Amino acid sequence: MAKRLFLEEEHKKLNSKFIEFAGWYMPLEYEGVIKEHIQVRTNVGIFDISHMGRIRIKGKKSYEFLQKITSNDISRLYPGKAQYSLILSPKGTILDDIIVYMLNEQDYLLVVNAGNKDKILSWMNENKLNNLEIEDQSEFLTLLALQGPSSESILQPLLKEDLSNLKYYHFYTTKIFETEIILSRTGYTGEDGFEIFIPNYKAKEFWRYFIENLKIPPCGLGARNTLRLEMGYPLYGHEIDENTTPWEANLSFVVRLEKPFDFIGKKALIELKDKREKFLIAFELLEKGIPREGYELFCNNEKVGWVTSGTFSPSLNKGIGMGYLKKEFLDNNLEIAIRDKRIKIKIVKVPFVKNTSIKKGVK
Amino acid sequence: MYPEDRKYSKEHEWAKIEGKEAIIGITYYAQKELGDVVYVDLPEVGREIKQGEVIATLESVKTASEVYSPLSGKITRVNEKLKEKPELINEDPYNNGWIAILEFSDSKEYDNLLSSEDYKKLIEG
Repeated sequence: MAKRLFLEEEHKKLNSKFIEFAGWYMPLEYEGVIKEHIQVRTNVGIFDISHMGRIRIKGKKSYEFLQKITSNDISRLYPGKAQYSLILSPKGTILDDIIVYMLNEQDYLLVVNAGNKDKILSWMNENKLNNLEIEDQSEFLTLLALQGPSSESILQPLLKEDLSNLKYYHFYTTKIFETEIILSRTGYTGEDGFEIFIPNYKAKEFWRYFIENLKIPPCGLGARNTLRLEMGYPLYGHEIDENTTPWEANLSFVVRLEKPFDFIGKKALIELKDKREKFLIAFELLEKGIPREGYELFCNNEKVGWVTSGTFSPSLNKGIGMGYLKKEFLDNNLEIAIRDKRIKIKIVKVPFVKNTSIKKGVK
Repeated sequence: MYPEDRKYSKEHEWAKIEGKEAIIGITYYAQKELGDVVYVDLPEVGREIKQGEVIATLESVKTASEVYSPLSGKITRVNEKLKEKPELINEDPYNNGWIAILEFSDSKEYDNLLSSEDYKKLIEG
């Protein structure tokens, strides 16, 4: 039985089409994926992403615990700073990709993937330290993502703070409609935007204000996927999983081998650094067609890889995808098999779509 | 939503007879379920096709879906416009969004398809 969003009835009223995703019954699209995608790239859109797991870590040992179970360096955080990171297995493979929010030295909020939440909670409890509180807050909070180049100007009138001072991957606790919320300048679209943690009892009021008063178009998982793919962001279960190392997935920028903590997976990662079994690539189709997960990649008739994510890119108007090659091919002769056809592909650098409104600052 | 000048398959295709030929397309309901169609893989003209065989593949942003021929026959024309404007399937599934025309070989197959009324019942219950 799929889990239900607190705001499900609101989505139904907006004629959302639903899909089951990571054990949740989620809005897939409202007015159509392409329309929603373009809205976010050019103006603004709002997503209900309350399926994401939210885990609170509190207590004196929080810092030490997080240094132990995450690959990025928690010492780079300060109150109000967020950090993209990985939780690794002892084998050095990826259990989850997460965002760590530091509220203070003894209080952190972790956003984990919906489908991984239970696994991560048990993993944390197995590796727990004394005097540490691990609390699953997913059920009490609605998480809305306001994304698009106009996000700041739309949100500003609701706040007393000057939003231009809130940098990328930073957040604070503030009040909107007399309600304490966490407001974070993060997202998964490649556009400027905010993720807002709202207590459920106020979620409907926020949602309706955005939809009815501000006329912000609601967007579903369909557009969330095309937007993230255009940026080349990995999605758990596709580009990354328990059979993939950060080296293979080009995520070495969140692996801090130099940090003075033997984090879980570190030892294995040192050994595996030069032993990649597969190489993540991003590619575009040189003819019409749309790559899909599981399609095979060929080089001179030899099967050399497979697709992990693929879609039609509404911004570029062509098929784009990500996938793994079994060795590092610099050859130009790569092809994708789509039904009974072979179509030439070209390896490209991510993001596929450049010059978006995302305001990258300190990471 | 369910034009009466044609018949329907349970797989949400329609067939409209014009003389010896039948025009094939997908229904309003089918295009709505698919979402934005962004690519259409059309069959070859001249190909013989049996009822129930894949006549085209429609790709929406989210997924690829097969279209099954509601009739047997020989494909005489395909809707070339869909190559440049696949969105015609969403915008006008019963007219400009037609997929192929075939010279049908067995009129009984047509008779056995669902009437507009029966198809409506199938969709709306």
